[in-house]
Amino acid sequence: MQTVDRRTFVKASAMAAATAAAAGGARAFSLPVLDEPPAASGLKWQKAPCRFCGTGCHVMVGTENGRVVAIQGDQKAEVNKGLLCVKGYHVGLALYGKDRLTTPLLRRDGVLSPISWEEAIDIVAKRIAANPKGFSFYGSGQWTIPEGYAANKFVKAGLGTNLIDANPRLCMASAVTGFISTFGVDEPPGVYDDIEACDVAIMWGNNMAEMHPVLFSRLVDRRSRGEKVTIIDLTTRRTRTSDLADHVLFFKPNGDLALANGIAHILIKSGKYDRAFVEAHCNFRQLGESPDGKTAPDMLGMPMTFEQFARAVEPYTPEKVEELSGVAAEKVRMLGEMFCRRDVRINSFWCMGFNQHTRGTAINCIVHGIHLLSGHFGKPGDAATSLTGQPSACGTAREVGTLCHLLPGGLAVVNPDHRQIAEEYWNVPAGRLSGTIGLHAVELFKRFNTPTDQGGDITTIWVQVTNPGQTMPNLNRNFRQKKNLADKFLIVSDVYPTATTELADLILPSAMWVEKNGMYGNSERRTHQWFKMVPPPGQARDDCWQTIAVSKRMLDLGFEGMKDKDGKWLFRTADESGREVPIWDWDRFYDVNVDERLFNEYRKFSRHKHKDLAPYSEYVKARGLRWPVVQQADGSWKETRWRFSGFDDPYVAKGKDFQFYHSVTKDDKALIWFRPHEFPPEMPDAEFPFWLCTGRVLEHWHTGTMTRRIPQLHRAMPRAYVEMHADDAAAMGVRNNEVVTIRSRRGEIDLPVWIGGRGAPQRGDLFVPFFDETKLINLVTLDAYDPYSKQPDYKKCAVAVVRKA
Amino acid sequence: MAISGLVLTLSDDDAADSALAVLSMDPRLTLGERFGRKLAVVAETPGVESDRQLWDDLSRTPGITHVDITYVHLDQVPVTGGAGPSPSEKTHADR
Repeated sequence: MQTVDRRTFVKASAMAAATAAAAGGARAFSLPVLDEPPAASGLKWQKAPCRFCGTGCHVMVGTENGRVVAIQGDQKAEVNKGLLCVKGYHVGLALYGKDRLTTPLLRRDGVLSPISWEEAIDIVAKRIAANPKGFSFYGSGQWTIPEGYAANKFVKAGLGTNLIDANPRLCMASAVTGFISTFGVDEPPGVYDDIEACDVAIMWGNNMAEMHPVLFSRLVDRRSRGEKVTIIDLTTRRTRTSDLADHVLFFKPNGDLALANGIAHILIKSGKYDRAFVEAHCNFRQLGESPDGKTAPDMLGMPMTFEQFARAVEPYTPEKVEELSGVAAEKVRMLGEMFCRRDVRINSFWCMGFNQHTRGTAINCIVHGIHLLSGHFGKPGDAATSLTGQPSACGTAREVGTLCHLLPGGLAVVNPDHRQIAEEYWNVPAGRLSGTIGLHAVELFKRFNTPTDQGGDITTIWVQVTNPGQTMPNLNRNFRQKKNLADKFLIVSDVYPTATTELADLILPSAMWVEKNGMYGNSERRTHQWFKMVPPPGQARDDCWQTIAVSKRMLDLGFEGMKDKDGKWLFRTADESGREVPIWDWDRFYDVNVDERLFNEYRKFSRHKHKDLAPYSEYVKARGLRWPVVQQADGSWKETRWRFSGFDDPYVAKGKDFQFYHSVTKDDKALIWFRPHEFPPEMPDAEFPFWLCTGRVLEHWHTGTMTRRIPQLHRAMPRAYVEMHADDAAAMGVRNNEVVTIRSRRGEIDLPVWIGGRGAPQRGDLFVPFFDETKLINLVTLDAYDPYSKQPDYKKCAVAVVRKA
Repeated sequence: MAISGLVLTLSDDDAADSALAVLSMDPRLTLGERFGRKLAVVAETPGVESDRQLWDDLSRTPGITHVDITYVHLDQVPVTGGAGPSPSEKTHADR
């Protein structure tokens, strides 16, 4: 009877979803809200954030007999209000690809063979203990917060190095340097509530309809309610976002800095900048001189006056901006005049278009600057919003600080006071932590792919939860050289075989998503929590356990760094009676909630930069909370939506409208930067006449290792392609679907041409998605990076299109 | 059992009527409301492989121009053999 009831319920839910989508024309970006799952369905339903992007949608996960069997949008979740994109609806299937890794594998004589976990942990521990300064962890924003915290503590407190970095270096690092340069502290002041409050939404190179579809749905749904919201799409190629925009302004690759400076020019020239806000709350800034003619000038720059700033942006007339950016002068004026208005609220959005840019820090700073200059800041709907690509890029990489220059809570390794704080919390001897910044992702893999006797001093890398064999720019140089270097050792913890495991010496099978406890932090400072719901397959185990087990093995081998200053193990965990729980033993790992112990230790760090986190138990009750989360007089915990704004942020002094309390200039003011337009390091020429831009598609997340194993997603977008303008194709005689070679100075790849497809590039531009492991576009891309964020530019390099004989 | 909610986009010619006739005879499908060219459908198949086959069948049916998925129920999806790229799209595990 129960089976019949459930089948009926499921069919009714499926029909409700299909009917709502058919009626609402919701195709392409969102799916409708479903009714509350009834208890009669017979499934156990629990909350979890989606495994995929940085939006932070919540799903309800239906389990039965140790398996995920159903997924629904969570109506109680503020982020997605029950909506899910096509990836979110299929997230449960990501667990059940046929080729899950289920046993540790060691490469011997080129062949991978199963080994025991004991042997695997021993190999890793001995390898690291033998040369800790030649070892680096490499993770991602897919690390849960406790996993990232454990890895960070392992490296910084245990090994006494800062040799840990993460995929957000390739993804969000320029947003970080933009926030720090402007506000003195990382992460967005605004929240997703701004989406419902804005009158104008500006997409700065951001294809939100495909990359953050639920957020885009929140925006366009307002139109269906009769509200007016103007969408302006600033883009180098027509996308699904363009299809719903009121204005589509195409700019040349690298034209964004000129365009943003043009807005500043119009604000000042017209006298319509917000003088009162600027005088009360802002200082002006510019870069100084390079200390040696080679090194980039100091990131925090030097003061400039308003008059100097006005002179600096003076050349960026609409006509000059048209010349530099390709956007018609009248459109530049339209945009500038929009910022001059006080009767509209403006929300800017960006993601990889700004961040994967050799001028990423600069363009982040300029856009914050035009929002400050125009006073479109700090009120609901007036915001500059950087979106993230990974589910915990903010929560783990940026907040836990799993990067080579950070300590947890936004503290810096180069600051002796910050190191002292960390040493106290970790109870390690004074001086244990290193003040030397470690290696950022590109440099790390360059060294790993360089012979040891030629400066390649990194000999062992342990990769968890990411896929650098597909994502590193210029893969031939930065990943594939390893194949020929016998003394290099690559350890990879993952759930499926990938382009990275292809070169791994040791593969460790990992649990994923709801096969383990977890916490993530999304793009709007929201921290989520979930519990383990189903067991991992075979011998797959939590990444966090793997780190802890290696630490314990190193302790047993006599590695002093794994002890605190009282001689106790760094990860010692006791039960309520004070008796040690052997969490290094997999069978005992869930005797206590290790996530809770690690998180409550980590949250002490969060108060130093006013990123206060609540106790773990508060997140169990909530669908995420946005920091700073501050305890109220009645003992409850209150989240914060608009940082630095007196009406909402508890850290703004009473009576003040705004207070930038981590100000670079120590006077509670934010910085408005002048950063000039400059040309990129590589541009099309006679030999390589096309611009290449890479990116994502709706159906696949990141490198596709999960979504390509979900049949519904794979069949909807089975392989990569190159988008080409019809006129360019006609000029070369190239037909739709014809396979051509995309060639750069670094490598080449064959791809079918898609003309008039989902996206439409401008003449002279190409676009290739990077999800397809069988067509690695990063063999072609350039590894030049922003001098401050060290983030590579995946959006601009010069290539040729070669017809095959 | 695999249950999917689908939205079929019908062509704007006579082929749409033929497609509707074919769909109404298919025991795997329950047809729902039609909104212009959009038709809500629930598909029920024994498993992921047959669900996939249904998708292919629908995509090839004259009068159907597009198939969108709006809901999926994963009950009893096999651990092996069901999900994963098609044989023509080898992963590293297949090499």
